[in-house]
Amino acid sequence: MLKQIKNMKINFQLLGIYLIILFSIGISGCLKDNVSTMYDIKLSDNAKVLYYLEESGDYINSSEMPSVVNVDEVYYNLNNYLVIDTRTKSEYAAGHISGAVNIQNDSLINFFNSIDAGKYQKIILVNSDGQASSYYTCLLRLYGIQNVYSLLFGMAQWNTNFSEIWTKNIGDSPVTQFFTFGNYINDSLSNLPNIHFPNSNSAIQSNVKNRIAEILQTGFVDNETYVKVDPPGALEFNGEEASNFYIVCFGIRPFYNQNPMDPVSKGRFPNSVSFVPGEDLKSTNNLQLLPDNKKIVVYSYSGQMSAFVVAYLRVLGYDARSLLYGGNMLFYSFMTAKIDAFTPFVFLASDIKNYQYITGSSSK
Amino acid sequence: MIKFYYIILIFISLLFISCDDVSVVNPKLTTKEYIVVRSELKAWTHFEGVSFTKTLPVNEPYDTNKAVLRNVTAYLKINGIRIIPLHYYQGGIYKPYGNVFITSGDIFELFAKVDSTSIYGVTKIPNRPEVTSSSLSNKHIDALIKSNPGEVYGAVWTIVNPSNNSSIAAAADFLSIVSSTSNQTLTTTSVSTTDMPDQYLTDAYKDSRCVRAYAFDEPYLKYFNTKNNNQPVSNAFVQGGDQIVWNVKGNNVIGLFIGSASGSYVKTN
Repeated sequence: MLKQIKNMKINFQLLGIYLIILFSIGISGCLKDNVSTMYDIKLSDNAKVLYYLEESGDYINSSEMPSVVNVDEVYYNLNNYLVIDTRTKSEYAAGHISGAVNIQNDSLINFFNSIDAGKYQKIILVNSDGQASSYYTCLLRLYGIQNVYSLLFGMAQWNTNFSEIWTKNIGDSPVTQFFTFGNYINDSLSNLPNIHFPNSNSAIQSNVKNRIAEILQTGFVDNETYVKVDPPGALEFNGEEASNFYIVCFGIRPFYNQNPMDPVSKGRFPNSVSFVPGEDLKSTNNLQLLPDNKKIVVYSYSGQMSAFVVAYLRVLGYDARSLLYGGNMLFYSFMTAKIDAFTPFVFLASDIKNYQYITGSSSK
Repeated sequence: MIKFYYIILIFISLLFISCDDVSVVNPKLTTKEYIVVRSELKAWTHFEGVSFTKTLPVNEPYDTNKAVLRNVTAYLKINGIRIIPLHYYQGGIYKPYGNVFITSGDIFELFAKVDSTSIYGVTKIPNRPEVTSSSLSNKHIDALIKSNPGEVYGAVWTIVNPSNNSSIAAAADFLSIVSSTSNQTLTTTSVSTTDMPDQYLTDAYKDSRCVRAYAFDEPYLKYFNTKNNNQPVSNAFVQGGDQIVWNVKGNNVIGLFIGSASGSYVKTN
């Protein structure tokens, strides 16, 4: 009996070993040989924005930039052009171009989504001085509307009654006493600013367009998207020392690198760098000289081109601001002495028209 | 009782046997489609672009229009900072809008996406190789090249016109690619060219025989040593299988994204 029990124990042990081996073989045999290496390499969102802006025409470096038209062109083409006045309702009611519709920045995208923009030869954005309209025009161009333009100098050149905003801001600023001459080289590269799309996996186009729409919604805001030399004569922007900003001079070389022997030359902001239109904002050139961790101020001939640049830079995530009125406010005597080089970006009293305007809130 | 266990044993065995996956072989020929990425980044030149194509079925005649990929989103990242988007140019080649100059020591990364496939490549641009000595040995040229870590080297014989130093004839390929890291104590690496045709071994070409060294980023070594794998077997004693080692990553992605540098012609008597 004892022997039988002992034999049974041995049989059970053998049985256990057999079952374990069988189970192991069975499990391993059931596995499929599906060895694959999964690569999850993500394209960064900031690179996607830059890619999209270039792929959709590289507007900021194109010959179309800045897309501006003068008052004469608009006046003689009122039947072919759609004029959008982006000023406040009260400013619009005080006087607007005949046929202009009053659409503020926060409604521009909805408005463009509701119309067939292609049926107009040109669509003109208008504001009081051409600064905000330049900013919005660039954003709309980047959004994909190819026939939108900004009215140069805005209503200020349409009729004398609106010109004060420009005439009071042109001149030779005492801040130029701090200006210097020669090149300032800063060749240290920075990362593109961080951008994170809420849904990074959706199409690049929709992500970028949503981003542009958000920026348009915010508008052209003092101290956020534009600054002034303030207090006047101090090397400060809106009360903050200019040295806290990375200053970009956006214009042809003689605008930046003025001739110190020339009595009308005033020089440039200390530590400012030169960016030449059509060249230096390219990804293959100097775009990434711009810092991703510092406020940037861009100044140009009249503040209008810099407003275009700031719009582009803000879409890329840079903390950029345009200096209102640019060279016209800093060194008007230099601009007028070199008028051939800076036309059409010099505000001249002789260019102010007295074209008819409509008062009241109706667009008709 | 024991019989009962034997019955259970047989039952479990049958159960496991039923796990065996019976695959029905599809008599139709199927081809796995690969994305092919190619770019050689030559030091001290402008970046020439990246080619993105796809493989076509083996029984289909090669048609460039069918092979090129036009819907690639791609950019370069240089030294971990600079981002340069790439845009479709022609023939499957993607280029930046503008010139990108390639400098020795730069690290280039390639990020790309084609539909749902992500692609990544990285390479370090080698230094221009410097031949410290060279000699004609039988029919080939032996050369010593100044070594740098992370680089591999090859050399080709070249016949140059002595009057203007332009190349008349050159070897089509390297004899071998040699790693500089195999022996860290050596400051030079020895490389040999393939044999020269007899006509160039005569005295008439004494002043025309040159060696030209090439440096590559390290992954090129594995590619070179495996590039003849996976070829049709024409010799019964040669193994035709095994994989080519590529350095571009991605699911069903093959290709090379490799930095290179070429040296000058060094006269070898």
